[in-house]
This record gives sequence, C-alpha cells and structure tokens, in this order.
Amino acid sequence: MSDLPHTCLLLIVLCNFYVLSTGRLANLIRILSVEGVLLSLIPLPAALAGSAHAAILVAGTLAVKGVIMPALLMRALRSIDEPLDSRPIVGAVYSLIPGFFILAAAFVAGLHIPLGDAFDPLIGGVGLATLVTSMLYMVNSRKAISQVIGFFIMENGILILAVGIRHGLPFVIEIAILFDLLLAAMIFGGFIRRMHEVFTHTDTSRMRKLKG
Amino acid sequence: MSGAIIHWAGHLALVLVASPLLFGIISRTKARVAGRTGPPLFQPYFDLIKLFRKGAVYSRTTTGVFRAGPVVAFAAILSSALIVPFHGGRAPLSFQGDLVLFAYFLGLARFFMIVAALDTGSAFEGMGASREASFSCLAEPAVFLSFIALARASGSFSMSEFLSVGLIQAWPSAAGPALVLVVASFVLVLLAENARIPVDDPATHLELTMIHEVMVLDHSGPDFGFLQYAAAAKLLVFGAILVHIVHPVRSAGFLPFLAAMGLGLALVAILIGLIESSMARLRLARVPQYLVAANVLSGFAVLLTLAPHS
Repeated sequence: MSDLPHTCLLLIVLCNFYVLSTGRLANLIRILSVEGVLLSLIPLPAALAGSAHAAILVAGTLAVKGVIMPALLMRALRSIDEPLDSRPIVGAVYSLIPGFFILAAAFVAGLHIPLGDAFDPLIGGVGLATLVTSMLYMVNSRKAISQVIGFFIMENGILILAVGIRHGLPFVIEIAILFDLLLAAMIFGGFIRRMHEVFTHTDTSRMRKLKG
Repeated sequence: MSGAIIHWAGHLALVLVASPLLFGIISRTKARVAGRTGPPLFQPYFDLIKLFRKGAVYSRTTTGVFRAGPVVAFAAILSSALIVPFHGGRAPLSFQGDLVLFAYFLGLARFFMIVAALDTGSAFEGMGASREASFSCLAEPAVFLSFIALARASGSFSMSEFLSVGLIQAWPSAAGPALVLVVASFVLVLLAENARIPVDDPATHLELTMIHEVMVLDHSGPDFGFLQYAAAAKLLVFGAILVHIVHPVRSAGFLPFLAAMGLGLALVAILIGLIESSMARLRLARVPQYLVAANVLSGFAVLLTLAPHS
C-alpha cells in the first residue's frame, strides 16, 4: 500500500508524455480524467490511516477532477462541430524530446524542494515536471480547448506540489481550490462555445489579427 | 581450452539451430489468428536450405561491397549473439562493458546492409537504406538507454551478469518500476529493430512503405539466405534479452534453463504474431514518434534509477 503514491506519480509522468504525443482532443480529456483519478489516490494511504481531512480530499479530487471536470469539457467538445484533433504547432516528436529534458531538469530541481519526510522523494520532481510540461503543451497548442486542458494539467502539477510540501496546505484552501476549478471548468466550457459561435472556430492562433 | 571451444561452438550452434524456428512460430500464430492452417513450423529452415542451394546473381554495377554486405551482417549478428547468455551461466564473450560491443556489432551489421543496398545504385534501395539509417538513429539510443538503466539497477556493466544475477536482485528492490519501463521500451525497440509490424511489415512489397525488405531486394540465393538467417538470429538475440529482463533465471542446470528459455522465446514469438495480426503498420511519418516514445520510456527508467530511492 505504501507503494501506491509512488506508482501514481510514475503513471502521472507517463500521462504527461501521452498528452504531449497525442493529437486527439477526446483522448486528451480522457487522460485528464485518468490524471485526476491518479491524483486523488496519492493521499489515499493517509485517508485509510484515519485522517478525515485526507478522506474528504480523496473524495473531492476524485469527484471534481476525475469525473465532473472532464465531463464538462467533453460536453464543450461535443457542442462544437470542429475537427477533433488539436493540431499542435510543432509535432509530437519535437515536443516529446523537450518534454523529456524538462522531466530530467525537474527531477534535479525537485531534490531541492523542502518536502515532508513522509512523502515520496519523487513528488517534487513529478510536480514540477507536470507544471512545466503543461506550459509547454499550452504554448504548443492552437485550439482553445487544448489550452484549457493544459491549464487543468498545470493545476494538477500545483496540487502535487501542494500535497508534497511540508504539512500540506490548510484544508479550507484545498477545498476552495477544488471549487474554483469546478467554476473555471464551467466558465471555460461556456467560453469555448461562445467563441465557436462568434468566430466559427476556436483556433487561438488565428485571433492574433484581431489585435489593432 | 577444449572446454572453451565447446562453449563457443555450442553457443553458436544453439543460435543457428533455434533461430529460424521463431519465424515459423510467428507465421503459424498469424495463420491461426486468421483462421488458416499456415505453413509448417519448420518452413523457414526449408526456405533457408533452398536459398543456400541456389546460385547468386550479381548486377554489373555492384562491387565487392555488395558481396561483403550479407556475409559481414550475418557474422556481426552471430558475434553479438556470443555476448548474450542463452543457457544458464555466462555467455562465451563476457566482460565489463560488453553491452557497448553488443550495440556496435548490431551497428556494424546494419552499416554493411545499408552500404550494400547503396552499392546497387538503385534509387529504390537507396530509399530503403536512407529510411533504415534515419530510424536506427532513434532506435539505437533507446537500446542504449535501456541497457544503461539495467546496468544502473543491477550494478554491473556486463550483459551476462546484469541479465541474470543483477536483475534477480534488482526486481524486488526500489528499481522495480524502472525495470517495468525498460521492458515496455524494449518491446517497442524489439519490434522496430527486427522490422516487425508497427514499424515495418516483413510480408509487404509495397514500395512506399518498406524499410528492411527494400534494402535486401537485390540480394539473391545464398546472399539473401545469409540476410534472412541474420534477421532470424537477431530476433533470437533480442527475444532472449527480453526473456532475461522479464524473468531473470539463475542457472538451474543446463536442460531446465534451456527449456525455460525456449518457452520464453516461443511466448515472445507468439506475442509478436498476435501484435502483427491485431495491428496495422504505422504511417511512415509516425514511426519517429513511436521510436521517440521508446526513448522516452527508457530514458525515464534511467532517471528513476538515478533518483534517490525512498
């Protein structure tokens, strides 16, 4: 059971690489849901040890990040009739290679983050890698919806770091962040639909010419 | 002295006798999945015997390089097989750092196949050679990264050591997840290096997509036989390494070990057959992505073996 957070962290890294390499938006949303489930499993040993705080966090993360947020995004994706691929600016090969070096750098940098002793030494590195990889993904994507997905993955990275940092964040803040995210997912969904109605596409790179 | 000679000769004989059978098992598996009976298991042996009894035809534009290609490739693959342990105990050729020599033997074989293909002066074969060269640029680092991760996890740079004793100690330790990643990466590389389906289709002769087959088109008779035999031996070598990584066995006597290895290799061949019957080949432009994924997996494994363990 003590291996569970470690395994989850490794699978999250693999999910990040999958995000960099896939082009299909529906798969991206599915992988976002998988990451949410993996993320919710990290505090599970603490919850089973009897911590009510951790138990609520597991349930909240699972519900919001594993189920509701991906469902909202999937609905937004279905409501716009566009090609279902993300058409990144550079291809998978050229984003996987920097992704790998980001992971290596994050593992080195992660060693310098002051972590609680109870946690896996990898947690800092994986959190940083998720954060920076999602930035790379957002910069590289054209579609509004894939940028939103990148934003949520970035938030996952922040959550991983928050779990690992000594004493963790206060309970109220963690729950508040979850609700903020839920609201963000709803607003982004509406936003994407509105964008599609006005411009008949959601390609953000074509919006540069709107600037004066 | 005579013991050493028996060891070397026995090792080579094992490779030579067993390797074509893997192709037989693969084609039998594919036939069964497709609902056919398929060729007999020993068909690859009959094909090889037929090829070796034929004469060779050489184009007037070719030089000695073209004739040397298949022989050197065959010899280099057999030499690389000497480094890999097939039966309990050490391989005939074993020293610290022999994994580098192993990779270079494979490189030598590939180099001579490419040069021989270019020597024909045919644009078609040049295209295959170019593809082979560019994809191997991505496949070789993945092999190296896998080996580095294995060497790090087991603390030895000799294949005979880290594939047996080293890995037995490494699997239950904190290096376990890294080894799982290495296995995944090595399966991807095995399919790519041996020109199997997601990367290359050994059965096709469609000019737009062939890689390995197009390079060997101009070879005939015994030369083609040598190339086929080299391909079979290479599959055996990679399969044996995969079996060792997944299930490292310490010598439990010669015959039980040989039986275990044979069973493992048969399973690898059946796995390849199942993959080939269930998947289509990747688009050529997607192959680099596939190989980079193999690199990323094995590179991640190296990072994990370097990271401090909890």
